[in-house]
Amino acid sequence: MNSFPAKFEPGHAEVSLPVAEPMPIRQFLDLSRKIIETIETVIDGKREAVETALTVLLAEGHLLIEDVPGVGKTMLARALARSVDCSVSRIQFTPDLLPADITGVSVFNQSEREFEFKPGPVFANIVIGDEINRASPKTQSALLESMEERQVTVDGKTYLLANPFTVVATQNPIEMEGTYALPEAQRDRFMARISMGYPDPASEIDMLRTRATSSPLDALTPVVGAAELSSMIATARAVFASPAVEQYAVAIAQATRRDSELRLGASPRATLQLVRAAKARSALDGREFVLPDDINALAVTVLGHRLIPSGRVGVTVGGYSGETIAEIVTRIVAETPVPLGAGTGD
Amino acid sequence: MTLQRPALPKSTAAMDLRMSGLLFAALGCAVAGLHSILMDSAWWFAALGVVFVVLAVAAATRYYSRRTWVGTAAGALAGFVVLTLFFGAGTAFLGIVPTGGTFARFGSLAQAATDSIARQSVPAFATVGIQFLLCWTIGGIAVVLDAVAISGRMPALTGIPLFIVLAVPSFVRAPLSDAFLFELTAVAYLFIVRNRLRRVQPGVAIVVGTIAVLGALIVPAALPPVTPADAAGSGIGVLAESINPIINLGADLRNSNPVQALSYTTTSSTGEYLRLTTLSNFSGKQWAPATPKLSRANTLARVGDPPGLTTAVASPAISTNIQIGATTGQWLPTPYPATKVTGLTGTWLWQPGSLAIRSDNSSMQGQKYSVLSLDVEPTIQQLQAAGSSASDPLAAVPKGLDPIVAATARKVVAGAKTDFDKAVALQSYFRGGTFTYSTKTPAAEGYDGSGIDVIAPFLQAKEGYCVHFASAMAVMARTLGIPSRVAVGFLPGKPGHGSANDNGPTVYTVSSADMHAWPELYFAGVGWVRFEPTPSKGFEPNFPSAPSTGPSTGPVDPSTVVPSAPAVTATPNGSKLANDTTNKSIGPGASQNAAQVGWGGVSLVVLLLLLASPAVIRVGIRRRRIDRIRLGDNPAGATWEELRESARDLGFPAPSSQTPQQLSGYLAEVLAVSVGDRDASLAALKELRELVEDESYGPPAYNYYGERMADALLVVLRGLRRSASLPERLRALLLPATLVDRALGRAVVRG
Repeated sequence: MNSFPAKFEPGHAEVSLPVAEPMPIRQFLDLSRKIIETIETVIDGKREAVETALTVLLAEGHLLIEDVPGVGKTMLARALARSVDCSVSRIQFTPDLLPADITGVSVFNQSEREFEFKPGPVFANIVIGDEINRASPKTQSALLESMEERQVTVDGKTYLLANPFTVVATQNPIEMEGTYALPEAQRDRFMARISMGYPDPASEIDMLRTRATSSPLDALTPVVGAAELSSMIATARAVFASPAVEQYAVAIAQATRRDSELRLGASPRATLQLVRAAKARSALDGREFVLPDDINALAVTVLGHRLIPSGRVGVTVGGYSGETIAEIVTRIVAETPVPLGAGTGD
Repeated sequence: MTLQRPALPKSTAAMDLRMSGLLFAALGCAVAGLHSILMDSAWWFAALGVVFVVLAVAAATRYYSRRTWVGTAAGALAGFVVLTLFFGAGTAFLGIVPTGGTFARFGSLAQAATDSIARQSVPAFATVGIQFLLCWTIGGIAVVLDAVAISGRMPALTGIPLFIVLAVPSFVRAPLSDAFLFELTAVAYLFIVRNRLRRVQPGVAIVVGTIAVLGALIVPAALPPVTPADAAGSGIGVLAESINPIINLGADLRNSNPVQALSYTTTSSTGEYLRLTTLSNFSGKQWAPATPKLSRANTLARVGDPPGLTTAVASPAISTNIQIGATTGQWLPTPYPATKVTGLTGTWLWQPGSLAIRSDNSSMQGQKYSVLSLDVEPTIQQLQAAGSSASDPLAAVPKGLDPIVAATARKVVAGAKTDFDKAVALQSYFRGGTFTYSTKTPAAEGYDGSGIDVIAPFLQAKEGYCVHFASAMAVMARTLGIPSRVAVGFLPGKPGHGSANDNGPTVYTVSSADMHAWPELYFAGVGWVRFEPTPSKGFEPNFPSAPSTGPSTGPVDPSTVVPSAPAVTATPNGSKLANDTTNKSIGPGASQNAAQVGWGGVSLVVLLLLLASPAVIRVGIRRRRIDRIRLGDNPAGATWEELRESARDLGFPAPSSQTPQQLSGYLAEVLAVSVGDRDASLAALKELRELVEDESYGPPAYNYYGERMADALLVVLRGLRRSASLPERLRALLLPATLVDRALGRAVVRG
């Protein structure tokens, strides 16, 4: 897909409206339902993964899809990108990929006798980073910096990235040779990590039938425009998170820092992103305020990849540390009292 | 969804203060009801002082502390300090800090109290011990009231302790309860519950119902020794009036359900008149026995000589074995004159003069003892030869006596020469047929009871019972210069089994209907001689002598050596009595000390309160929460906490780490299989969850959901209770899991 523009023009990245207004929740639900339905035409039986992906998109986060090859990681990322009418770029990470291949380069324009910035694939609304752990750490960090800062600095000049901007990265935890596992700090930049998992037999049979001849991906048509997407993001951002819910999120994060099973707990950024993701999830649920259930449901997805277990459960293959982290997070959530009332708790 | 927030009720502090005042008033009225069993009023002020301190300290503490139970605890502590100050200041450090000596003193005071309760009649003198016990109990009740009404927010439950206090006089004897004070207390109680009447609290209703039912089932079962007597309505109340047995003697005789008072065997050929005491002071409205301080030397190993008796009079010794039943009293029934009594427990001393035997620290109840006494058998000649004793103080005519009494006496004895002849003439006058035995007429005509004022009406109406006959004859004898006194005691009773075909001794059974009074007249050289003026009762004294004693022996019928048939059949239920008495066990274990029963009752009440206290506390917590919800004080938190804890009490896992949706999802499954109005419960649960979520997690809004939440909560709780099994519900009521968790300091997060 590597369809970056031939020439960078100022304002190119600002493909969306600079200030988006929240939309009525009914319209929001309608659009989000359309997006999910569209994605589900290509990804069968992965409702949860699809919803999480959309949640991350609406919460302005970045998504890390982690699983064995061939379960539809890239398919999900591309379907998500295709269902929204906005600029999409795809980077296939390889060991020889250079930072400039991501951010773009300044080249000397002979005719105008000046350096001209050629934007890299990162200048898009949705950036798909395939097999991100195959690139060298240097290249990885170029992407990850732009993810956090939402800007790119080349030759001392800073260029703002597109808005909305979401990176959907995939990585393969099985292969070890020639991969560079994402460092903790970088994993922390992703709002959520999901794994696809194998489809159930029925879905797999379905898939055989529908994909025998052509890729259904080509048949996807965008259902949401970039402006609408911005508006949806604004809607999700306007969801109210009460002090009680914030307290709950903080309590869970604090518990991960105290837990003896964990060497590294959740960062404050994790807490922030947990609440932000919860807001998007609430909006997708048609609510105007966050419930503890949102926090609850997202805890493993949002916190799982940031935590480092202490000792025995620490088999990190490309940052993938399996069920045990999920179990620890589930346990922590099950041990954290849910605050009620006007933030005063019990 | 948005409702106008209703005006909040008056501030809780003011309400609590008002409640304290009402509790004080109610308890004051209820305690005042004890006036019918306690004399004077010092005890009332003492008890009210303790109550005041308890409630005032509780209220003041509550003013500074938001936790109401701190107030109750402070009140209880203050009450204890005041009790220490009142009753154990000498033993306490700085007068208020109790030491071991203080508790020892408390113990001895309590012991003294039970002793004097057992010994005294009503109205009793409020000894220090009784005051101690009263202050202690009433102070405790004040703490309970405070805890229940203010800390527990269950003012309706205050009725139970208040009623217990009000019912105390009725326990002693039914007519003693004071209707006026009962009503005053009831009014105060209505004020106490007034604010609460609007709302139905099923929990409270259940607790009240449970306590009432348990009480109704357990209390009668646990109080067998006293209840049969009380239940039969007989009660030997007269004997409980141990200071003055003559009071209500009439009431006792009128009682249609007499009970066995005692039984005895004797070596005498006839049954024995068993004397309790004598009344010799005939002045005043009511006659009373003299109760001088008894000399410790007057032990029963050697009872003093009968006054006036000389060796010239034949007086063979007889032995009588007496077994007392459930009758209480401090006077000991013995034949006159006793010379030696053995087998008694407690300190019993004889009284000089009357030779009545009395105890200050024991009761006749359940006693089994042997009496050696003299069968004084003066001959008629000896009696006729007796000189005049008109100068004896006991021959003094009481002041204010209607002259008609003396006139009648003179008319009756006209022609009699000696004192003895006069006495016999008086006896014949009463037994001669013109007088009728009736226990009802005196009450109907208004001359019931004793005292000089009843004699003239009695002589007029010629109907009365033993008290009238005895006192009339005694007073008339005095107008004739014969020293006299009235003895109170028992008729010889009914000879029982063994008399006909067994060789064993005759057992006489004496019932409460055999309570009797008779005159004793004094003859120099012979001493006090019993007469029997009451027609159809007992038998006349038999004076062996020359048969030709003229008219005076006319009425004397030597054949009446055993109680005449009328003596038994005089009571309507005489035959029934006979059956009852023969069937009744009179073993020593059959009866119990009244004090023990009292303590048993108290400990039973305490036990019941203890058993009920988890339920009371739990219901109190629920009521406080519902109050908070209705007031809009963090209603979501209170609602959900209550739902969670109620579910946990009922055995459903409901950890605090569950979100409202998770818990309501689980509870919806529970309710879905419940009986009753399932849809209403489910709808209420859904509404509750939505309201709680909106309130807890929604954007700030000035919505007031308190009433809706509280109502929905009550519906859901009802549904949950219906879905739980009966054992779980019982356990939830009597031993709520959340209370146990609280007590153990456990926080239940994971369920």
